[in-house]
Amino acid sequence: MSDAAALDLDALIQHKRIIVCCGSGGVGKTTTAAALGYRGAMQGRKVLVMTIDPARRLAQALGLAELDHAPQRIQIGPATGELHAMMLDTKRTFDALIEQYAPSDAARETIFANRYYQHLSNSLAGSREFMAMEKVYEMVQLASYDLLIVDTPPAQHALDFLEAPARLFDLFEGSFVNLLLQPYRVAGRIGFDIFRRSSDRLLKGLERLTGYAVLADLSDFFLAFAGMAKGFKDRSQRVMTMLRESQTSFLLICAPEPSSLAEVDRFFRRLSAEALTIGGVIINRVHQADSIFAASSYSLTNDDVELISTLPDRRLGGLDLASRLLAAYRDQLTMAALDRAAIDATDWIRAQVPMHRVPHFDRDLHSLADVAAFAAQLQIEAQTTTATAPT
Amino acid sequence: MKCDGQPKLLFVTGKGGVGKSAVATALATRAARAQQRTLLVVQQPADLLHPQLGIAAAYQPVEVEPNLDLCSVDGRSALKEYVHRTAPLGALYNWILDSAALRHFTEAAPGFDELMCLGKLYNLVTDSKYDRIVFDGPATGHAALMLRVPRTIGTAVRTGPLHHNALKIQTLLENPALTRIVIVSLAEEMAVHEALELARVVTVELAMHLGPLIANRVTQQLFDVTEIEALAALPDASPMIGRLARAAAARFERASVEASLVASLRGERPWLIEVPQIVLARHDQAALVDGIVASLQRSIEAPHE
Repeated sequence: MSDAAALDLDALIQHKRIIVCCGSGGVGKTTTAAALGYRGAMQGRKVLVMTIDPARRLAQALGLAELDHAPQRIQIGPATGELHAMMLDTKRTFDALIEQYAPSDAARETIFANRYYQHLSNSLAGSREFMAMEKVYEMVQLASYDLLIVDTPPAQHALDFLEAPARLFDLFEGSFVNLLLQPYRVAGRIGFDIFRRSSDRLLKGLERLTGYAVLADLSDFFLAFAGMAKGFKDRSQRVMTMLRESQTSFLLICAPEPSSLAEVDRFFRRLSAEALTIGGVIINRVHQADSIFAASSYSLTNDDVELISTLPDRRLGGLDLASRLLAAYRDQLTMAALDRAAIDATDWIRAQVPMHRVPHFDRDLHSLADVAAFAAQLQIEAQTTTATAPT
Repeated sequence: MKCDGQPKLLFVTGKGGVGKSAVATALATRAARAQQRTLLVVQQPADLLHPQLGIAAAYQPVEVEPNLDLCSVDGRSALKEYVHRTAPLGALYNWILDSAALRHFTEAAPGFDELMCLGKLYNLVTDSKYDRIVFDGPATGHAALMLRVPRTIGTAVRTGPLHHNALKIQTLLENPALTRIVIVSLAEEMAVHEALELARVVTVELAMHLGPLIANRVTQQLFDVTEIEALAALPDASPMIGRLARAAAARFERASVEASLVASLRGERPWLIEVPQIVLARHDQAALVDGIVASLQRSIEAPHE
């Protein structure tokens, strides 16, 4: 543990323009993003926290009833900076991009009217991630904020955020689309019936599996997009450039569990491969104890036992107070030792990846005061304490 | 089909990090140990081991223990099987099915992958081989999306094989005798909020039916408020007493918060199973699952609906 490098979050807050919080679901990513924003505002920065979250968790944590597509200022008392927050709306960002890049009014209307677009543009693989980055790019261009903190979409794996946009392009540019679109390009709008009768075996096979109407609708959908593919791609390259600049930093948020901690290695390998700047790791909900030692090596002295015996004893669950006190203490130590062992066992700790541990809170975080309490825990960690036995 | 009044398909979901997979594994293990032929269905890349069972899952079921099989579904394998089942001379389609073009399509086309996976679940349920299918489904947000797919495709696609399959699957998912949605939550504010929101979507919007709501890893209360107050009032007798008192106070606080969250969950969804926090000396997934199975045994008979 002693060779772990401390993560200086205040330095990031002070010097970066974009902080991207990545992580798999359920690790406290949204709360962490809010707390970083809060800390930034308290340090004089004008911060915008952006989340994409159907459950509106950030709004909840910030004490707002609703959070929407337009940035909202959060009142946080005596701060020298400002805290703003917004929720990304994939469909509206998608709509706005189409408005901008559609080659003609007709193409735009075709897309907006397409049933696939209406029903499924939110769930199109990679669209949430792509649109989140698109919105970040837009907000950076606006230059209204000193610092953007991006809470990435909930994902099973932290890497989804980086990989999903590529899948979206694969779809628009992929050979399947070309196969579908080629006959259209040759024959024009009336072409589908002709090409349906054509001898293209792949299409006939697909049609048999899915039905004619499906392919017709899909062709419409992708054909309408074909004119915009270049605009989208150029835009996405500018977004990647923005992310590679040194003003951007990526943080991985995780939990002190083996599977979550193991993700850190894969994540940072991938970030390095993409030439993206690694900030560090924030491990949330780390169980704390007064001291860490083998849970079996403690006992009560006769004086302790005597003292406890003078206290009221409700005998909950049929156990006397002394046994329950020891049980609660043992649980606390065990959980703290378990978390520490899981963290110590990772390869990246030895590789000096900067790390910050946030203690497990005994209560839930669901108000602005709680976000402030969390933010207070983002102070750079003092020299890591070493395991000691009780005196 | 063995009919004992229990649904054949349990669709397990929950917010990320709530222990959904461990609970799904425990539900399947419990059924298997009650002599029901059970299949645990996961969605997991072939190169990863199942986190609780420690073995790789493939599309073809493998035996884990007596009466318990494990398999993994993905859209492409399900599509392949579907074609082989339905198309005459289905093998002739292999060259389409293996094409990069189709891979791009199934990876990115909205809802297609989900529909194929649900189609596979449909086949498993109608198959007579298993009494019980436990599907370790996607996390809350994606689960709502997945459950919505048959209706969306049924509406967006008005005729043809996709339309008919979507309707068939929807009928299965809406039948309370066959399918129950099991939502796993923690006794934490945000997880509870998300669980109740999904419960509303499932029952109101999708007209599907809930199984038990499972409150996982609930911290058990060990103290009474008078005991905590007496401990706090103690003079600093010894370092050990101080540590015990602080640990007890933290435990009391945490357990109180969780008890009130469980109570509010129960207020909205009376069919609730509470799984106590299991503190193990090391990360031992098999012991964890056994622990959850034991608490399921104790509380699954609770009154419901």
